[in-house]
Amino acid sequence: MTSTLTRPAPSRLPRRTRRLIISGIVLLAAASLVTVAVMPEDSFGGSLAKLVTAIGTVAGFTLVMTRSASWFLGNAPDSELDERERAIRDRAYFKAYGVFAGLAIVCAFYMLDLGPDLGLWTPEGHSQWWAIVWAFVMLGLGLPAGFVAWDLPDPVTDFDA
Amino acid sequence: MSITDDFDVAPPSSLQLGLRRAGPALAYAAYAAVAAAVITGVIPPKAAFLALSGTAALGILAIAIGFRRHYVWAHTNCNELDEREQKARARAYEASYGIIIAAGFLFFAPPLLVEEINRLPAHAEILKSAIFGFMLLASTLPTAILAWRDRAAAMGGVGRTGRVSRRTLIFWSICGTLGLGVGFLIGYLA
Repeated sequence: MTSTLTRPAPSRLPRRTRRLIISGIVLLAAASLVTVAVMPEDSFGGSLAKLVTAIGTVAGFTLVMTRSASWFLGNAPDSELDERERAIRDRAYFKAYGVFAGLAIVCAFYMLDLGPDLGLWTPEGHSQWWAIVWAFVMLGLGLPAGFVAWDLPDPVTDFDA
Repeated sequence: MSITDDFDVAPPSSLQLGLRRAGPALAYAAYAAVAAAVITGVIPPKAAFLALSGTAALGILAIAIGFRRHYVWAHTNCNELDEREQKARARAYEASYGIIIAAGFLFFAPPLLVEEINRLPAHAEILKSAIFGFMLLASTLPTAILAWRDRAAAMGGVGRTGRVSRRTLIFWSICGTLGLGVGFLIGYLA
């Protein structure tokens, strides 16, 4: 089977900007979950807030991850990457594993034991559970690429050479 | 194909490899048996928390101590590993990451199939079994995959002098403290 993977142009964004974008997406995703939890199901404002934050999160995820070198570095096979890129990718998976597994355990404990016992908010109804499931799917798929974008050094310009 | 097949090292015998692979599999199977006993009601609900958390903790300890070489390999600092070991570990983490995402999805998605989703606490035994199973899996999967795939164990190497990184120790200390805190809180509230 031949590979149809094409390498995108290297990222031109400085590391600081990339980190700001990643932080923005994470905040937007958190805001999306908070609006789902706080806003009542049947209000117009609530539905609009959910829609805006959800579209913002998905659009940011799509733009930053799939059309950039970060996604490629995070998901391409080893043969497509050089030694430096592989090292960055390996570190990203190492961190992503710890963050994803830790977060999933904490959330599971909260939702099934701590939240109900302490009378805190827990997901109710299918829409809130769907929001949680989608948040985890996106987090799982985007986390390695996010760490790659976070760690990738600043691009070298012609003036630096 | 093994993750270390592309290196020129002597492979262990089939018996050594089989025994090594049986270890983590036994720990997971023991947990699955206890979880099945809890779900089917053989173990009463009052003892479920203790049985599940105890089996998961024993499983983690058994793999971490029994496979200390691979556990250190999975958690030590990068600069303590040579190129082959780093490559093997990176592949183990990539594989573990895929499995853990699938496990997380399997854990969070089934409640969506429940007709009356707000009555989830009625299925508390199943959910608790899933949580502790996920914890066992998440804590030991990279170690288990390294132990399963490593063809160079007969050569010794990593784990003899290497130490688990300070970051790992801090991470697990925080997890352990949080776990104990949550356990005591739940016990107090009950």
